[in-house]
Amino acid sequence: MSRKAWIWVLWAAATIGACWMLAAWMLVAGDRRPFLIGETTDAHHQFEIACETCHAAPAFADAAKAEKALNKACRTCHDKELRAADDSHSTKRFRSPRMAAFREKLDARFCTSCHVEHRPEITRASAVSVAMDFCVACHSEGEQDVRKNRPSHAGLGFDTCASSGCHNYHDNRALYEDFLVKHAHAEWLALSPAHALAARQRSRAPAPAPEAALGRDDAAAPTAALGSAATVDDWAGSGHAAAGVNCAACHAPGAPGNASLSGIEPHWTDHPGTAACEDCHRPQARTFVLGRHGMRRHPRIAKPRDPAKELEALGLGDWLPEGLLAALEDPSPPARMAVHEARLPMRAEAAHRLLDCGSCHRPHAVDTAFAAVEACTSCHDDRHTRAYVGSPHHQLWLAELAGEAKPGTGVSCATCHMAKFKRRGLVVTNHNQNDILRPSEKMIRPVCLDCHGLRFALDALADPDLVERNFDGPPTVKVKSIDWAVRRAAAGEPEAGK
Amino acid sequence: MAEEALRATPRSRPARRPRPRPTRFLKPLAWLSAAGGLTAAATLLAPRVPVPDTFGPALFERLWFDDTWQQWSGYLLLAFSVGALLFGARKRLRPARRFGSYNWWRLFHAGLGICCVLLLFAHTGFRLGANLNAVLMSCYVAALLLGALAGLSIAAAHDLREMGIGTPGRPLFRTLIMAHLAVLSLLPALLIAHVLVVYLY
Amino acid sequence: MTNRLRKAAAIALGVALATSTAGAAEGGIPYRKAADMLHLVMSAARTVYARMVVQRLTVDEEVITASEHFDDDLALPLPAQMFRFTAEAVSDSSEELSYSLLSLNPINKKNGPGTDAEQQGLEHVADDPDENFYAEEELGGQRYFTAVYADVAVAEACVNCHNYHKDSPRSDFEVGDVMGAVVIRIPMDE
Repeated sequence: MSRKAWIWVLWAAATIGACWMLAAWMLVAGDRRPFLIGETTDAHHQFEIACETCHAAPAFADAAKAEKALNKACRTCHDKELRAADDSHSTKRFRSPRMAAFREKLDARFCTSCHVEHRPEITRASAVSVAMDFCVACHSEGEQDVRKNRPSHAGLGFDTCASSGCHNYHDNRALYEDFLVKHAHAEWLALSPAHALAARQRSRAPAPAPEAALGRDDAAAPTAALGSAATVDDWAGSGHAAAGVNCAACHAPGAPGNASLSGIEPHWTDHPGTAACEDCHRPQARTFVLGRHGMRRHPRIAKPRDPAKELEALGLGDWLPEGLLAALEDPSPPARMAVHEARLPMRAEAAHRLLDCGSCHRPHAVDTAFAAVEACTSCHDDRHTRAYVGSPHHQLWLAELAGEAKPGTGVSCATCHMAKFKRRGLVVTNHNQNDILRPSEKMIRPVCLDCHGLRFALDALADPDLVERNFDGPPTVKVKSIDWAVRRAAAGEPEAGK
Repeated sequence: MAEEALRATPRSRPARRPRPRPTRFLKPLAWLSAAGGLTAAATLLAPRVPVPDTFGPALFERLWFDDTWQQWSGYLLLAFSVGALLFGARKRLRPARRFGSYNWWRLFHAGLGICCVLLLFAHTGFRLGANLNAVLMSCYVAALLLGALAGLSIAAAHDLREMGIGTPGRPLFRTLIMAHLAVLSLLPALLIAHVLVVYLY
Repeated sequence: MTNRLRKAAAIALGVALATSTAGAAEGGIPYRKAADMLHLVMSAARTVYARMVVQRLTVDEEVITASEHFDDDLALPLPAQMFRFTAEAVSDSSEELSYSLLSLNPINKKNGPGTDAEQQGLEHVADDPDENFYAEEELGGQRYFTAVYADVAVAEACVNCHNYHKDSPRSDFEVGDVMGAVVIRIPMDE
């Protein structure tokens, strides 16, 4: 064979080999991030390695099926919040045949019509991948023409609907007209401002009867594991000791409840996992996996692919020799989020830290005051976080900690970002810090309104610089929605009719 | 670059060596190559066309972000690329030589190259993309640029030799063509992976 | 409680759907008859809710109010809202049937006529409440059998709310007036 022919043969072999390798990588096992067509949006990037979490349709499914599966996957994580938000544009509303004309403008039956993933260039605020004046699609014509229905809106651009603090596409619980009117005349600050649920939680008496409480002499652990006296002191002063939770409860979860020291030893572990916490703190654990701190533990993140099964599905079950098959491995996302992977500014010295319960709750002291502020500021390093220290909210927090102010009057990071909720009569802290973060109007009802008037809250949240400065003064932005709503209500009939 | 190529007509300066026989289509080849090279270079140099910030069926946004449009521009680009490959087939498959002269085929190849550049713009907006797509795009653009440079160096072969660039045994254009082919050889595997990714995810 | 009622209504409709539209597809029950039957179930469910829940608890017993913002006001959903919720629940589980409560004078603009058939149907039943309106129309590439049934103000509460609501385009409704219509759509086999 001539040299040229050899080159041809070599080239063909290399190309075919490369194709096989790339296809196996995609279809059987391997880290597929090199195939990503663009940066994954915030939050989703945490599990981008597990493609099947969202790309749930089987390989080579037709486009419509794949689209459907993709959209169903959105709902597996976001359904609850959309329901809670009383979604103003719920997908089911657009399934009705009478909405066909609107669907042609913007097919609101699918999340992916407005939220396309891996397209950083067209991804705007809130992961919206269409131009932000999208309201124009349906609300600029005919009966739905907002300029006709609301003369006050005549001169407004459609890019301002969702950016001025007046409307959201999904969640308008704090923005609908009657709500605005109802809260129109509230003062900027309540007479005795305090977060009701926080007050209830912080002022409650210790739950268990005092006789169940343990002291420092009750610490039951193998001598070698007993650690420093400070650790034992921390524990003895903690809620755990007060509730009768001894060392073994977390460090030797396998030991029977009343085991003696010798019974504990075989089960002892120096570094118990988060499972030890989850056993008792279920609602907290359940909400933790929904936020960006804990989402890597979310149960619906796709498990790594099983190469043998994938081959079987392709009809190549016995095709690969056992040895080669064993060499194939699909990567699984790390079980915990690392600070250095975050997309927000973080402290350099915290880069190596991994997020689980113990990151914020020092395991022996279990000091919720620490978890509510210092734990946050030990990693987060953005302007809003830095500005918190010394801010009016922080002053209130310090006053409450010092016992100079009533429970619930202090405003910590957790007060706003981990709003408490009631569950079966108990007050639970939401451990999903992202639940009411975006759009920020979500924060109004569960947080702001406890102390502030609606008008003040709307203005403050619509003032991005004030947010950055952590609310160190009055807002300079004036959202007009309340005035307009009040005027319309006072008129008692639609403006258009006048 | 184009002016330089134009001066490559045989009568432009006195010859020291026996003049090569005038080749047909050199001028248009130079023009096409220069135009193709410049547009392909725009990938790296020109600013991207910004995505419009108003809702509606904007042509560019559809071209570059709508899956269906992307599919069609992609296949069209593939068809033109395969068409351009026929030039290589002419050399290797005897029957193909019956249709048109070598020079005509070369000009046609350069023309297809330009079409590929335009379709590439339609397909990508000269966005480099990310990861696998970035590698594919780099290879494709490199192939286009090397092809254009080869075209120019053929048109200006005479001048280049006079300037002492390349030797009669190994003229510059041959080096460029080899580089053009080397980059092209990577494309099939990358393209297949690209298409697979699109249909799988 | 409202959830349970919603579920019950959805189940009742589901049963009606299974027996009627499946029959229609096989040629067993004509579209018109299927729509009429569905309308019977819908109006019965609505009347039951209005009478046995809303009227009893808000007017007779005065233990709770009914409100448009029932979530915030810890109140009962209005009968019209209940009707819409069941319609949405049906659309959640099937594309075989869709229905809505529309009006020529809607409080919420999105409940005004949106298609030609809706416009004609609403006008038709407004003129003659006893005569239903039937049409075929094509929406989003699918043919539908569309039936329109007059919705008459049966109680003072309906009339009051619609007359005094700030978004209502009409304020002179009286009991017995046609306030709107129920529109039922069944996709037709090709």
